[in-house]
Amino acid sequence: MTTVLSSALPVEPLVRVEGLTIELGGRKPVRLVQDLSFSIRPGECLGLVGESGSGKSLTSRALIGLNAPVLRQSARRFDILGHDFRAVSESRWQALRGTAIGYVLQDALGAFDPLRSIFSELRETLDAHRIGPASGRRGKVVQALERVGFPEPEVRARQHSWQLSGGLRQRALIASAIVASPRLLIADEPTTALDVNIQARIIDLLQELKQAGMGLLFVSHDLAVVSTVADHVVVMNEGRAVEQGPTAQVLENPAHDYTRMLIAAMPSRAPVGARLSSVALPPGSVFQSSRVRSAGDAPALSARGLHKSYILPDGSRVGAVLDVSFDLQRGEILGLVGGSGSGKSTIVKLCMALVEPDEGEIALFGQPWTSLPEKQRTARRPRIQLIAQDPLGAFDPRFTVRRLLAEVLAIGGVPAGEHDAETRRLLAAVGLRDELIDRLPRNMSGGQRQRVAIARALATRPEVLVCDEPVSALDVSVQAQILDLLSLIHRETGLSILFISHDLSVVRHLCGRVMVMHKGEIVEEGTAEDIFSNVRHPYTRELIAAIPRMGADATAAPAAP
Amino acid sequence: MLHSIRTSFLASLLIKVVLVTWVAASITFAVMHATPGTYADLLLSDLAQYGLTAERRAEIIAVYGFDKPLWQQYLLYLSKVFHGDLGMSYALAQPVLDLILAQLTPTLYLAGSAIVLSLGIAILVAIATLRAGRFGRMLSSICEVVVVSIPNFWLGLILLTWLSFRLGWFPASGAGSFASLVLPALTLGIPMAGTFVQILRPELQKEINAPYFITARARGRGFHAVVLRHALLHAILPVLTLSASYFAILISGSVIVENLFGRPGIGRLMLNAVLVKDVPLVSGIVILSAVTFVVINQSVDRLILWIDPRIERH
Amino acid sequence: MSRNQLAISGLIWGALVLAALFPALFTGYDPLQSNPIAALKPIGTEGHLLGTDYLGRDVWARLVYGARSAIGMGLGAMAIAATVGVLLGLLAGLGGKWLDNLLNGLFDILFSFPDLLLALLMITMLGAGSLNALVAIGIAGIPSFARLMRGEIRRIRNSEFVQSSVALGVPRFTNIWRHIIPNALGPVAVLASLFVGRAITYGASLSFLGLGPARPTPEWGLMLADAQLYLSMAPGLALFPGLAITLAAAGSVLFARSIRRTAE
Repeated sequence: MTTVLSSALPVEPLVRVEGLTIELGGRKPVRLVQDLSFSIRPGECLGLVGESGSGKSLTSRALIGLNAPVLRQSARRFDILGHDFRAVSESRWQALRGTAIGYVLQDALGAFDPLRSIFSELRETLDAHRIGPASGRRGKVVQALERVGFPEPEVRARQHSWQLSGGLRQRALIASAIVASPRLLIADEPTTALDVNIQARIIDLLQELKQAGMGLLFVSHDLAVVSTVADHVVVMNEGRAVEQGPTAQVLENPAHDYTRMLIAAMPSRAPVGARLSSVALPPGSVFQSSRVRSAGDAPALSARGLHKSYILPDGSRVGAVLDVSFDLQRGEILGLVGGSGSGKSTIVKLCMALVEPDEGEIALFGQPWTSLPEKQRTARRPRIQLIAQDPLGAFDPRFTVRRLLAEVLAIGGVPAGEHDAETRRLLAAVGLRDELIDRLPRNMSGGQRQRVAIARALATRPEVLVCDEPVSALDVSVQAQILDLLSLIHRETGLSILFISHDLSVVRHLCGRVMVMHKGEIVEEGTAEDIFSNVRHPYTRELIAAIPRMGADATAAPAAP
Repeated sequence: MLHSIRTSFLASLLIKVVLVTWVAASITFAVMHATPGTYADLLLSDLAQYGLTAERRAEIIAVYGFDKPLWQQYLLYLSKVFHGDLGMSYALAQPVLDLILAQLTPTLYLAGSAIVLSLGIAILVAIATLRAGRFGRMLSSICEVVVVSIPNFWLGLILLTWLSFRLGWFPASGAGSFASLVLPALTLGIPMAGTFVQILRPELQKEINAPYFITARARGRGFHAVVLRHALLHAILPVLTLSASYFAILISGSVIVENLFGRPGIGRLMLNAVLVKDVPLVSGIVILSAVTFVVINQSVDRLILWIDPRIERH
Repeated sequence: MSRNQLAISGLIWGALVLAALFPALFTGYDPLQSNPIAALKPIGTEGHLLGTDYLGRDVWARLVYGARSAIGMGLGAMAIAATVGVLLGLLAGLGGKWLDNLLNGLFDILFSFPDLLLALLMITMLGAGSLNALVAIGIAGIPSFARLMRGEIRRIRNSEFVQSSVALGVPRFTNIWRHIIPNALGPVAVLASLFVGRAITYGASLSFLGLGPARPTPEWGLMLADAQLYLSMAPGLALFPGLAITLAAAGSVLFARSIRRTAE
């Protein structure tokens, strides 16, 4: 707490909201946010937690008056810096934005105008409000950049946002929100798209700002991340605050089922291998015909000396994978963890034989795989299947679920007469209702799509599954259901699974053995427990330290950069 | 670095110009010779109408190499084209290149003013209707469809009838004064403005929901200020990438507009040449406009890259 | 919104096709029958609701009979441009690298010729006439279709869902037939629909300039060319043929708009 704020007077809240309701107008109004109350004081952080569609982003936008005009907003009390903002003119809002309230969006790449330099983007707030003499604004921008730990601000601020790394970009975005020293900072999912270790550093930065006396509204889907900074949390579900109170209390003594579900769904909290979701799973018997029965004892996948590099548009070569070897044993789940740019997606493409390795090869059940000509490989492709991060992109946009599955069943040699029954069996196996059979995937939810993707992968009766970040685009509760489903499938069918993720806690929960990939190389390999208790490589240490922990033990300091 | 970019730009431009000229010359040559009756017969029989002496006839045969095999004629034609010799217009008995250059200025004025006019209208309309309600959006979308569907020669006729014959505001023809440029520029520019709006408005609509737009507004700028300072430049880039089609619209439109309003220019030259089957002149205009297209297109690509240097855009 | 557009375009094109097939349903007059006594009658004259032209021919009858040549021009030129363009685009998009580079370079270059100029060049050699104009406009439209088809094929070939079909073990030709071509044809259908309108406008422009069908033919562009001489006396003559062209073109634009969302 700074001295100015801790004067004898009781500290006035920066924001005091009572009974906030946001509706989508029209003949039948839809309530998007209902009867929400909270307040934020200087030097205090309020966490707003909820899954997509919970109304948390609408609430944060309401605080800067930037919700779409079609949304109707009402409140019993809506005070910002002591003034009633319920029905004020656009110019009052404009005067407030940037100066009193700073706003940080999730997607730092998109949040900067790509055609302008970081410097001119940061200057915009000062220009818009004519803060200080024009000649002094440059210095203010540099100061703000220094405050967030942006290296060499004088030089690098001339760059454009897309020329910066994800972490730097996020720092610059925070700097742009605090350049005019606002008293409240709203951060909407500020860490979501970042690698865990960078995420931890951004959280430290927010922590510092809070300690310097800034009020903070931290909006996130991730209860664990929020709990590291927030003093109070509001848990939102379908527009309502289902639970709110001091962070420790909500975490340790959740009163509402929804909060309990959110906490249980987090792989970092649950005992390894335990169920994450209470949603019922299909009976094991539906997997009867999917059971793997292949002879021999060669590893399911065996990679030896893989090299792959790409040529950039400017002609230079970038090594994506450098001398990688590993075995995926039959019936195991092997985790592959790494940050963005570590080369893990290239490993996926190599395993699926969608790109040719420059050197080395992968064998499938002891037989040649990557070295085969495509014609011969096509016949063997059903044995190894991929589940991608974005299932929507992986489906022909014109195909219904029925056609998607029929196509694959035909490849697997299932006679056309049995397609319908088999499709229904598969949908049941992944926990989807029959009615969805004639739907287009684009009209389904993210979780349903991922289930369709799993059903389609199972339709070829594969022996190996490659899962490429299969849950990272999903809400926590849905993520929990999909992870439960994958481990059920593994248990019932005996499939071998290569599970790729950036999230160490997900991998630890699911996988027996884990490999850590960094800059194209596998830097660490071992059983999941081994890696956590006996870290050898500094990068792994950084990854583990960066896993957000709930509540009091949240002070895990990241390793030095 | 900058130096090498500039040379490689010029080099690639040169290569494209050469390629386009070659293909254009080959097409015109092929069209000349693939039509029923040999080109020589056609040319000579047409020329006979203008009174052709046997002496002049032999001279023409020698110049065009009609007595040589086809492939030699082709090479001869190509080498002439690449030396800047587009032949003689036989209807006007002057070098094709001189004729075209003489008519270039009025067409450039027309095209330039049409572009400025249409871009101006389009930007105004797109921004004005950006936050329109249901009714406003429907109205502007109806106007858009009508405007892009109107054939420009009919639009010209209507403008002539009303603004010139009825109200007498602007002269019906001629090219001397600024007032004489107004109707032709409107005729050419209004349908183009419709096309621009069709691209600009959805682009702007997309941009005003982009995270950077919301961020800029969260910094305390007003809606229209952010549209002008940020979104407009983004929305104009896709318009620029389609500059090819506008060039085609302009050239095609100038054929119609110049004839309708009795203005001198390339379009008028072209139509007269087509009507009297002045093949060298028609081919010359086609070749030169293709080359102009390439130069414009490459320069605009450069411009886009300069505005938006991200590699992703490629 | 898009359903309204589809309905309006359906109405316009339904009427046009009907007029093209059975013009006698709409009018009792012969479009070629001149009547010097009744020349240049104004709009609203009894028996000649839209008036008569300088030879006393019924304007409504000439409009109705003009639908046939307009529709023939639009659909005919589109058929030429789309068929040849799509085939060439397929060849480039699915062929090897070498063939693709060659064809794509050629499309690029052909695309640099303004299409009306290309049509005029061909008419110079073929001579004026409605069939020649149709062929010329059709050929001039080939590069746009070829470029679009080739681009779509390339884009879809590299898309994630085709990659995932490959990974599922879908054979190459099945993939091309079942996934790549049908998805590429969506945007092509949009262009084809737009092109029909453009071809009608270009066709009318060419006849307006005197390069289309010969004179007594009932054709909208030709009617406007004739009306040009009587602008101050009978401005109504210039109104309806232009309106007809605008309607036909708007019908095709609206159709393109209404299928765009499902197609892309």
